[in-house]
Amino acid sequence: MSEVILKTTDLVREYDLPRPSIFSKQSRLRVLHGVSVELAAGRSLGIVGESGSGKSTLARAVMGLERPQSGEVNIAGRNIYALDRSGLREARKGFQAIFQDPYGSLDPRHTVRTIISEPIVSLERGTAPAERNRRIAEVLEAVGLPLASADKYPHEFSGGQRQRIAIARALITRPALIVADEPVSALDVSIQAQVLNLMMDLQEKLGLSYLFISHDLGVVRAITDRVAVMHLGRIVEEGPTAAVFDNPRHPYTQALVAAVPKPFSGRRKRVRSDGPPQTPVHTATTAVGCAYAAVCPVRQEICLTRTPEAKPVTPAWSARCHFA
Amino acid sequence: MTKPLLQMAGMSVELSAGASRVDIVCDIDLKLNRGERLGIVGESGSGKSMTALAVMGLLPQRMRVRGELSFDGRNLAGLSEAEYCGYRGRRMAMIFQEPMTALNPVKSIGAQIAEGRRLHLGESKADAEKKARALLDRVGLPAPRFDLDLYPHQLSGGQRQRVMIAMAIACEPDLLIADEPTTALDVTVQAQILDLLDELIEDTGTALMLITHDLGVVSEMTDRIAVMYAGRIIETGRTDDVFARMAHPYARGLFAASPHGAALADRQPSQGRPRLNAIPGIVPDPFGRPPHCSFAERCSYAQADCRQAIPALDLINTDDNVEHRAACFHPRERMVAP
Repeated sequence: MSEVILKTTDLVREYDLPRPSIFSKQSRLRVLHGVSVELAAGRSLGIVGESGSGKSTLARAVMGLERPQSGEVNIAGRNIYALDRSGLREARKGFQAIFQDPYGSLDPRHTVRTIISEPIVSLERGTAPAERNRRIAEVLEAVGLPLASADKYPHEFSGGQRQRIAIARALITRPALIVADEPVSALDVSIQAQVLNLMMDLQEKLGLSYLFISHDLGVVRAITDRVAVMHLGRIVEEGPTAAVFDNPRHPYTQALVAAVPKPFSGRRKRVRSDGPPQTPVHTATTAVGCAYAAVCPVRQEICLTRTPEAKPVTPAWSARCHFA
Repeated sequence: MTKPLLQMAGMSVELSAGASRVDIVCDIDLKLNRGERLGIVGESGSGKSMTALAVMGLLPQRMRVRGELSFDGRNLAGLSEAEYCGYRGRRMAMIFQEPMTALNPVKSIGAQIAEGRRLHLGESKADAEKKARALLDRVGLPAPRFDLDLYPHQLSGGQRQRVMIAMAIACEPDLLIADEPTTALDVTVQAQILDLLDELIEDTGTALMLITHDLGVVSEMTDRIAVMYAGRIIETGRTDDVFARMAHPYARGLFAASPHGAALADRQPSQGRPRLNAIPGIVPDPFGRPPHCSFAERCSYAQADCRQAIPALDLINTDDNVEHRAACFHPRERMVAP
């Protein structure tokens, strides 16, 4: 069994809802309902789900940006929310993020050199300028950008190149874990493939682990070993990526996989639904029953009265459904 | 032979920037009849959205249409703005990509849907609102939950896109242009919106021009497709035929690069992770397009003649009276296995 780089245990994150009046009781929206994931070193775990499923909240909690109400985030064996300021600063060198929008995540008034060196300037104070320049050259080479790009500004680069800059910035502290929140969804298909290939190359070369968040099942399939499907703040199915997508066990995963339009499938087969389309909503507190029951095609009595536990399909694959 | 509803022949869109002029869309030949569904596929910068905006007469100010662009026999380039307003929303309508920004945030959805009918058909407020109510029901937003008095911010992305569709079909247009209608939406919501569009087109017989970069969406929604690259159509034909042959290396590359592509079918778990077949390089800038095949620099099949002239959109096959054309000196023969 290889070393576990990231382990979250029962993460619960709630947001305060606006109060109708100052006298009313504070109500809360629970966005993560006890999420536990584990990522082995050198591997990649995909988190898929629709908007509002809590996947970005999970990423922010893992990055130490949003303290969960309960639960733990252990990165390389340390609970990052139990560390003091300097301890967290030290730990942050080990995990870095790549964000979705390569246009918004790079400061337009800074040169690429300033952008890329920011993590070492703030996390590794006292690094000599020569050493810093050496590291900048190293990461630029790793992401396939010419050294001359260091003195240019973000607007001089295309979307794919900007995302390479964002990857270079994440790599410069030599992290073991990279949290990538929709890193390629703003890119065109042909450029997306280039960036994904780069991420795979870097993973093999540097032994990186990825927590890869995306709504695109195809992208997740290409880059991850394991996948966790999130629905309304719960992981409803988790297992080896290819197995889960080829033979999904949870009705929600099945619906998700079936909804992706595929080339060569011919004219679409319409599902005539009776009544208005239903969308399940977040439950403010932990309600009883399965959150997917409202729209689930295989719903039974038990789904409304008992919250399903994660049931093992194989030792490495589980689904949170009474009928999995 | 009746005249097609929409006809483009040698149409170009010219952009003037200072003293220099450049065609951002070149030599487009397209025909579209009532009841037909045409898909336009391409990446950003390929000119697919500009082609749609040219039809709608909504091009940015520095751009101009050259060549033939006619709708129902009338030359659109010659219309005055007032005449164009009589077409837009009435005869042709567009569904925009971003339902978040394309709706007016300070007008109720009922007023926005009714606006077209009041303006174009001169209906009274009461009649138009009754029709707006029916349209909202039609797109799957029933009363009383989805009242006409709601404002866009009270709706989710998928619901807003339904409102956009209701607005577009309010005056029963002959031509519906959908520019990436589902790109901003989740897959399950996307499936609902595609089902709705499919149903509406079947019922009303509208012509559909669907612009997308998603090969899965065009494959499921259209009869014919045109693949665009760097402002030109590089392959066009029946959707099935184009998917089956993919004669142009770019069409093939685009498919192989997408994670749904065939590349992943034969992955071998023992030998590390298979790479995607990325297309090297980037799309040339409109101001720096080469005087030869603009894909030559990225093409793995490029030969000497590819760097000498721009290939014409040549006929390579005819199936069911629909021509399959590709702009390549060395079109691929081998069928791609589905």
